[in-house]
Amino acid sequence: MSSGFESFDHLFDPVLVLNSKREIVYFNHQTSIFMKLPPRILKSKTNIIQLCDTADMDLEEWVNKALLSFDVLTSPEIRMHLPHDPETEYNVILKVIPIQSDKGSNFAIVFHDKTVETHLHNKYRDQLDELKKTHSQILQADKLNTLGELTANISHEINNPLTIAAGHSELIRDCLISRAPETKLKHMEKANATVIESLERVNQIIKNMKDFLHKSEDEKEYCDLDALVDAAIEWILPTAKKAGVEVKKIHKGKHIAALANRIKLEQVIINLVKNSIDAITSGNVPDGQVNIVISKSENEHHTFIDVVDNGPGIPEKVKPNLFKPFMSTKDAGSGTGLGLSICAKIIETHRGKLENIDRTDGAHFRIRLPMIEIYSYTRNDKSLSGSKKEKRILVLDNEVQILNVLNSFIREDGYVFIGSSDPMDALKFLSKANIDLMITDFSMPIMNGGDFSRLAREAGYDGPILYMTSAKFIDQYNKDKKVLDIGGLILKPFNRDEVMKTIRSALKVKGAA
Amino acid sequence: MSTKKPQEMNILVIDDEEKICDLIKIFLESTFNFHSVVTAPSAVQATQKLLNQEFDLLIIDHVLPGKLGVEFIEQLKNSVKFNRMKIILISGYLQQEDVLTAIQYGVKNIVVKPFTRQQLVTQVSDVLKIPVDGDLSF
Repeated sequence: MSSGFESFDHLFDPVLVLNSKREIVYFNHQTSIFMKLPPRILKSKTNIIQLCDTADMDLEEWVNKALLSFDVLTSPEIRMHLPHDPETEYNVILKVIPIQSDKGSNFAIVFHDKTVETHLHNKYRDQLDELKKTHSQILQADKLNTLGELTANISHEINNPLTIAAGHSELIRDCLISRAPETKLKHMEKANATVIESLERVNQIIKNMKDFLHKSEDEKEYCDLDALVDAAIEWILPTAKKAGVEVKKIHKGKHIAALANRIKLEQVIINLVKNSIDAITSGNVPDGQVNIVISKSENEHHTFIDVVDNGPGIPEKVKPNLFKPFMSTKDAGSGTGLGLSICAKIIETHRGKLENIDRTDGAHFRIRLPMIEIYSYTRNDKSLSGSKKEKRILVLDNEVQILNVLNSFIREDGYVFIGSSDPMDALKFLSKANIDLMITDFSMPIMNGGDFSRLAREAGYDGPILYMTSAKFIDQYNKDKKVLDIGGLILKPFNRDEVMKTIRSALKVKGAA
Repeated sequence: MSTKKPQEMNILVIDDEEKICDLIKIFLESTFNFHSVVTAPSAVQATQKLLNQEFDLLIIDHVLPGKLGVEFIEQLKNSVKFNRMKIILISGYLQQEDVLTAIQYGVKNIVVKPFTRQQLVTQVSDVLKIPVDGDLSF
């Protein structure tokens, strides 16, 4: 059988060669190993059907089709049995390659054995699914864990205002049944105000807990980091108080916002502060202090939330494994060691990074978040090049709730939304991000919309500008309209249809120009 | 047993929540004809007041900044000067362990938040052996 097909013996895959009558004229060395048949038995087989049994595909028909097309044909992955060993299932991909030679037309059928690979792949996939499931369970468990530890202290916190409210209600009742209620009116008014104030405090605490438990896990929104850190501190304060640790917020720069899942980010901050408190307590540090510092990076590409304490610091030998699961410096039973690894994961899903900053006097963790959303858009830009360019709309408002509302309106209509609560950030976006339309709130604390528009024009922005304001500032709009070329007005409070109509017409004006 | 009249007694209330202190003060003064109900927001300030003045009763919150009420009680009971001090422990979140510690140091009167005027004055009347008096108004 010296037929010029011997080169197939070098292949690792089994190869059968058929002639135009579909008869087996050659098999390589690997075939006899794969088929578990000695060559002399193999030689007695002339038809491919005698060698393999395929459940998913009519092998004869497929071979016929392949031979007629006279082209390289690859089958999908199929299950196959050997007639003499029906127990074992193989996963193979068949490939038919036409071979032209002086002996006429032949066809090589290559068996690509995927059995082990497929098996491993399935196993890996199952494990991955399992892992994903476990991971989400761990996340939920960690949340409940955090909550459980804090609840004990918070129940004390709730009981204080409840006591005040209940006590003052009693005082009011006592006033009413005493002989001269009219002289007690002032007392009653004061007591009543105290009751309302105390109940409001209880309500606030419970609302916080509810949010923490039920808030959607994946939703991201524009968050005022100032308010977010306040909410986290509200949670941790009873625990800190009990431990005699002072927790302080330090804000460098105003109106720093981030696009984040509020609850998850809160959870990370709570976890970090809790770690600090635990370290301070176990290290018996007097005058324990945890500072939460909100700031921006020098190049202003990132927003930082730093949690800094004056505790004993992180032991040198722990540092390399700090963010790995089950790493804990606490005594067995007092911490799962999952906290930091989960925190790091949560920050990763915000396209940020959780870092440990080396210090000799205490521990220092940094949550690094990308400044708003601009970077995701600029990165997408390259991959989107050539496709229809989406219109980009920049909105400046110091109130993050307004940004969130406009974000949902504007994105739903297929525009790119870039929100900012800081005029300086917004100016940077204007120069970098090819903004098609700019919407600015008029009354803002640092500078008003008019001043901002002037800066934008000076920086070379020539697109349309819309003012967003209450009717109070309509005169200002009329004054600026000509000077700064303000293209329109969105009156607060607004509804969806009005806003989108105004935005669409403002964008059209630019297109025509 | 104390033969003092209520108006001669000095009471010290320790709670970091100013409004709770005020409430207890109003409840007590309107019920017992007390003339001296002093308040302190922390264990440190309470200690100063204890050193300057003699008190007949201490009403102390369980959770204080940096220190637990029972820890403070423990300190008092270990000192010769204060170990006979009458004490009422107030708490909104008390663990079994804390109750046992309190009882161990001879504190039998515990008021749980949120408490009513009746609950508070019953305990005070019990510990000071004085009858409930005064009209129910302020």
